[in-house]
Amino acid sequence: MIPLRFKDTSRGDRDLIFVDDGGQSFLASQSFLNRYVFQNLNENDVDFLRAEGFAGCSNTGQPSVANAYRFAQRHHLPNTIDYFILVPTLRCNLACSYCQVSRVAENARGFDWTDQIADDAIKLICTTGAPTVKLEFQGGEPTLRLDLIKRVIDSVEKTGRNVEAVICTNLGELSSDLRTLLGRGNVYISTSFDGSEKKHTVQRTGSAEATARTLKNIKDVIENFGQSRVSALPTIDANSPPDPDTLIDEYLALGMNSIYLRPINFQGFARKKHDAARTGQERWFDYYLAVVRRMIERNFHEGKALEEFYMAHCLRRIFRPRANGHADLRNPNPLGLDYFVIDHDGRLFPSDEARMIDRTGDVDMSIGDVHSGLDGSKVLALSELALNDFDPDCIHCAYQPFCGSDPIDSISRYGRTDQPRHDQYFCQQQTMIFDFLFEMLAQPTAEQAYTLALWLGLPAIPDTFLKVHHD
Amino acid sequence: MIELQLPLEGIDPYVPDFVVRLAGPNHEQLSDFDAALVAQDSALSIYRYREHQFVIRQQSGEDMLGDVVLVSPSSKTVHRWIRAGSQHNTLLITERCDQLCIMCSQPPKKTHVDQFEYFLQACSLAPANSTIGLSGGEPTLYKQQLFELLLAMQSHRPSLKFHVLTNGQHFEPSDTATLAQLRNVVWGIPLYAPDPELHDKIVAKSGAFARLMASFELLGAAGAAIELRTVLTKHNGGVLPNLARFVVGHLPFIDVWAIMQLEATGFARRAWRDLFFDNSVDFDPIKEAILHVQTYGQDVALYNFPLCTVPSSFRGYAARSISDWKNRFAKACDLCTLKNDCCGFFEWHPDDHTYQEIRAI
Repeated sequence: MIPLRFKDTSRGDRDLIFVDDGGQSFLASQSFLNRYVFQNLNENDVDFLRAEGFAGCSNTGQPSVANAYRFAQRHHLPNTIDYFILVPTLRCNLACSYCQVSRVAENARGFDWTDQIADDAIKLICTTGAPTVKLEFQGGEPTLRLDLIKRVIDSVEKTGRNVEAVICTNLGELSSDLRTLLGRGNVYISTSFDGSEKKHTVQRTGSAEATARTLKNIKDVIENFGQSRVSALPTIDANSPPDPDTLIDEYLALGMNSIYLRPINFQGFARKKHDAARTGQERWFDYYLAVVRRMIERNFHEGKALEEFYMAHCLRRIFRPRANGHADLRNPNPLGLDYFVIDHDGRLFPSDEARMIDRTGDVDMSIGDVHSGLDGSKVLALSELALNDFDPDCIHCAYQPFCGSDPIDSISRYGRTDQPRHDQYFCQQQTMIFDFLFEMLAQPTAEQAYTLALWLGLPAIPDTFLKVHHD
Repeated sequence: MIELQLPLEGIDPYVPDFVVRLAGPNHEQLSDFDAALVAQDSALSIYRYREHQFVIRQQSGEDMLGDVVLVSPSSKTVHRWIRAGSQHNTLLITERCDQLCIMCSQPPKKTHVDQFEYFLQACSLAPANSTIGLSGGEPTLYKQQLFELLLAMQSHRPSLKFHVLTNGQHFEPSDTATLAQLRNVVWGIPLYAPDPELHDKIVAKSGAFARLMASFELLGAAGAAIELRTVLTKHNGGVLPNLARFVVGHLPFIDVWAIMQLEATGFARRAWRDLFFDNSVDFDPIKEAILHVQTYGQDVALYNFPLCTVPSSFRGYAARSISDWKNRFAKACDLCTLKNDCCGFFEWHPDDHTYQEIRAI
């Protein structure tokens, strides 16, 4: 018999969710919990636990390779470094009120990669053994230095490696040089669109014309290079969010069904200017769920295929031990081991967020520099924080196998990594999402079942999503 | 239907069997193991191999260039073991078996002829990157020789892959290191029911289920690649959803679960009416099983399911699984737009043993 953690789902008669270390879960009643806690399981309980793999199926072996396998698969093992976030310049042609990465004026000097940094960055990237290298160009506005972007891609390709490049741009301009680069087929655009033209103007561009130009450029890329070549993310001010339907409609108009909703980030200049970042957490959660609820309704009634990217990913992690593909949610969450950032001044950071913390001057978050490489002792120090299995709070949580850890966010918000989990934003956000998902999974309405099946990629709606133990 | 055994002439019947690759007329590029094409017309091909000359009669006039064959003068037969243009080549390791499955497509025999020496030679000559099936009978009755063959190929022919059909009754804890070492094998292993009674009844061997579970523990711990195979019959059709739960709970380390429709040959032909589960009439248990394992991200495939017998949203799971040399189509299929994606029927599928619903899509 495998140890189980449990939590209330506040739905129906069989309203408790039980989860084992490998992340297998089932629903059962309060009376089962009593029998479990007081070691008084009946034959029906034992039959269920055996049949579903929560106990050994025979008396001969251990409960098994199956459970050990699931436990192992739940854990993300970093491969060789194959993902590089590059900041060729900190200069930007916009001054968004909540700029997440900090930026300097477009004509400022001394905030671009020097030739030496560029050469050493390319050398460092090319030390990887990976046959395919992902390059993400951040800024500032990286398209101000398309020459550097082109130089890095060309140099890495010359070594025989495949390159997949993402340029994170505000797409205020779609120059002929950028078009030429997009013509290569392995270059993608990631941009921002804050959900309505009005919000986008207020939060980013400052003028309706500039916003219109950005939208026109997004459509231009889709039309000329294909839908798959551009993705967009909204940043939401929870104190003044766009209407959920407007946001959904605007994204649908761009041919985008998957929306990754993000609140104004706590880091960078956002913290200093925006009240919402500090106090608007509940408002943000309410808004987030309101958009998700509208998606669920519209999927069912209008035959749409909308998903909130992060919640759909969390859903897949509940059922699928190998859903480790998203760097924002995994366990362990290794820092500096499978990707890192090369900043405008050649310093290395474990993540984009870490570079922002460093920039606001609170803590030295760098893990080396482009000339002498990674500082192993700093990487190791961060790695200690990457695992949630033995965290004194997570160890009691039914959601632990599906969840991750985010020590950088913790440092950013609290200046420490040992803040009790339930006091941390990351934990509160994850609990909110998993509570919402399990409440649906326990007893889905027809509308909810439709979306759950859609997010799981199922060809039809199953009778039940979760395993259910009937008394 | 492609003939896998062809009449052999023009060679002394006392010459021992040998394995060769059939080469073309360009004699300069021959290796020591190639038979050179001397002459050819639409009905026969004449080859020379070392001091021997032999004649193969072809009915179909099909191209045999690059095929690896067993030339058997005593039985006047050429066995086309590895056809160069096919992904469906299977070597029959033995015809003996320790189970007697009620729907067996190839009922076992008592005798065994050891051909490992020829198999080794044939695999050595196989085209690069091909997958070779090893089947039976039960190949692991000759487990040590089988391991030796697979290990030898892993070091000498690393581009080859093997698909071994086994009942999983013979793996021992002492095999774990070998199983972990072998990276060129997918083990195709049948499981017919989630409970010992029904599984043992279907394979006609008491204790088979428990023995199989012990093997799965070893294979799972060794990280072996496993294709779990469930042949659908009237006996287990209804418990398929429970089997799906068993797979998710106990066998998460398998690579794919193949749910297979019955092959109307061997025992299954004789007992067709008692065995055949017509999924064109009742797809519900299959649907429920697929939805459950897919929720948990477990890959699943339908083998030998004609597309018109599967609801449209589930057709993506149906593989073109019937080997090229033994599939055919019904009359109704001529007008079907999905014919090229469909597995069709087994060549020997009798017309009166069929689905209620066969139609062009």
